Amino acid sequence: MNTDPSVTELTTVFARLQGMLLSRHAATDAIHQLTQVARDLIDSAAGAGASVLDAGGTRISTAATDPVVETADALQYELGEGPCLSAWATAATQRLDDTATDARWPAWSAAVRDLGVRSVLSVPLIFRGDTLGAMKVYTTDAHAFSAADERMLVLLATAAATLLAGGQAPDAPHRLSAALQAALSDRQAVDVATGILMERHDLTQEDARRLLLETARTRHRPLLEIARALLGRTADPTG
Amino acid sequence: MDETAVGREQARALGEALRRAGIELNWLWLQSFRLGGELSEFEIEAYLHRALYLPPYQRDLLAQAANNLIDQLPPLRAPYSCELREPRSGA
Repeated sequence: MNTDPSVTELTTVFARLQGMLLSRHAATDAIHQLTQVARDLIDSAAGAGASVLDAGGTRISTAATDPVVETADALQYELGEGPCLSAWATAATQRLDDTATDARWPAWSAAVRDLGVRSVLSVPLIFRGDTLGAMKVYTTDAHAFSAADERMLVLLATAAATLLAGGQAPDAPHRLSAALQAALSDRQAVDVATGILMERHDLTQEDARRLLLETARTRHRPLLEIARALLGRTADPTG
Repeated sequence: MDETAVGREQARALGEALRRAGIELNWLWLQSFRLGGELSEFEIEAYLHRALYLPPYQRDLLAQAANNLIDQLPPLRAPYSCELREPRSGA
């Protein structure tokens, strides 16, 4: 799978998420920032939206990057159908490649086609088995979203759901923020260590990652320790 | 064992290890994320339920993540009374 989001992109994502945590934004503000991150992170996206729903399917909070998204989203709840409602109800990603031809949500597709919306990608926001809502991206071209875009949005949604759920306890935001910071730093170390191995042993990224994992396994040391040893330019533990 | 069977057994044993260690799914996800993993929590859950097949590297990365967390847990033992009492001052 070479759909690995660049570390720089993720740094931006988490920095912005961290900003939301530290300032303890109300749910609506937090979600609004989230939609902007989603729109920026997914190249083909023209707009993004997100909603938090209660168990009955009523919107608790919602956000959109522009009026078209706002309208398209509102239409789903008015008509009682649409990819985001389905993403929330089924806890599964919903991809709509062309509103001109899709038959799953006929009333909604017809309505948003007039707004210029052609492709839609919607993922559920899930935390510990509870579906909190959905996050979506829209654009004006058909077949615009790829599997890589899906993976990116799902990755973002996982972190976002943790953020949203964690925001309910007063001290949780600070703990989450520290955990996310550390996680990002570690992931970056693994990335760089992989690069070092690729260069040193003339390996593909895949083979370098395998070597790193195999070294951790055979030496009974945590993978992160092996990675940081490589970064520290101490003896090469991969031999 | 063919590779699918290996995968299923790995998933089963991973689930068992997580349960016994009391490690929740979101912590496994966070640890696999630290190690450069690309799976969502949803995919990891599907894998544990044997509803999603993963290739060997990704299965092994999850095993590494789980083992990292297990190794970080304090050893499981019951404390003695002397280990819990406040030390007497001036003793």
